[in-house]
Amino acid sequence: MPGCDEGSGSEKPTIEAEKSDVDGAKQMKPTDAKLARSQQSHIGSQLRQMYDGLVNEPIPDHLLKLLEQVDESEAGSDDDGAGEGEATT
Amino acid sequence: MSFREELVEHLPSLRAFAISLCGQPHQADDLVQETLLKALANRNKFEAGTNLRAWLFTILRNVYFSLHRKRRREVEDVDGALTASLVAKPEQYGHVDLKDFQRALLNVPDEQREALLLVGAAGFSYEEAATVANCAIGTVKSRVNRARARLAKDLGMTEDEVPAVTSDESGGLAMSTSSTPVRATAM
Repeated sequence: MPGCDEGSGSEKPTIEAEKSDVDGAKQMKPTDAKLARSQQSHIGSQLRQMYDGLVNEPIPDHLLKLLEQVDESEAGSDDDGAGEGEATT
Repeated sequence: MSFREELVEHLPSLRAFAISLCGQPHQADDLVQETLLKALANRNKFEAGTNLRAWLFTILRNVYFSLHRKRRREVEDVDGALTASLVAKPEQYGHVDLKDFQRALLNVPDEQREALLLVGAAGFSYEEAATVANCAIGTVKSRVNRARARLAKDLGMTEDEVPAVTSDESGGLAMSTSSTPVRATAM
């Protein structure tokens, strides 16, 4: 899956460091305000390479077994009060 | 596709996110397990046809930030394996060992690492990432930028030079004397 691309039509991630956000405390020239493209893309590709390697690892059995036990007729009606799953945008 | 089948489909990415976020495969699998259990228990809260992936990632990151982050710090204090392995190793730019990268990533503050992972690795849009991380889109952008800046610094990439052999920071991660956020790790 591409790293910085998304297909939902909302704004595309571009990396533009706001000067005020860059830690560094030294005098920042305008050109220092964001990482050089080459650095950005290098970090990006390392990140995706790392992540994709993890995605391709085999899933531990105990996690798969957990899902095997799911009874499709259950509606998950018992609520453990967690309530984390609210991000349904 | 059934709900269960969809969960299975998202498992690899969920796990990759968990490992990258907490830094320890064993704890990551606990994270994923808790996420799956919560997802199943709260299935009725999920609106079919909406963004299941974002929903699952939200559950996972909430579990991490509410429970597991503290545990991660404690483990790092006791088990010096992670910090002991943060040895400065000169690497030619472009051949940075992935393990070094992963370790550098763990030095990035949690929320920044999370933002970078969501947007730069897991493929969410800024908007989706903001929902998952429960913050403003601008905050996501800011965190991503900071994460990248921190990585560039720790990996020995300075702002003004063309990629070359690393400078004397040479990937010195934990040992860097630059200002580091206060973290309860044995550095």
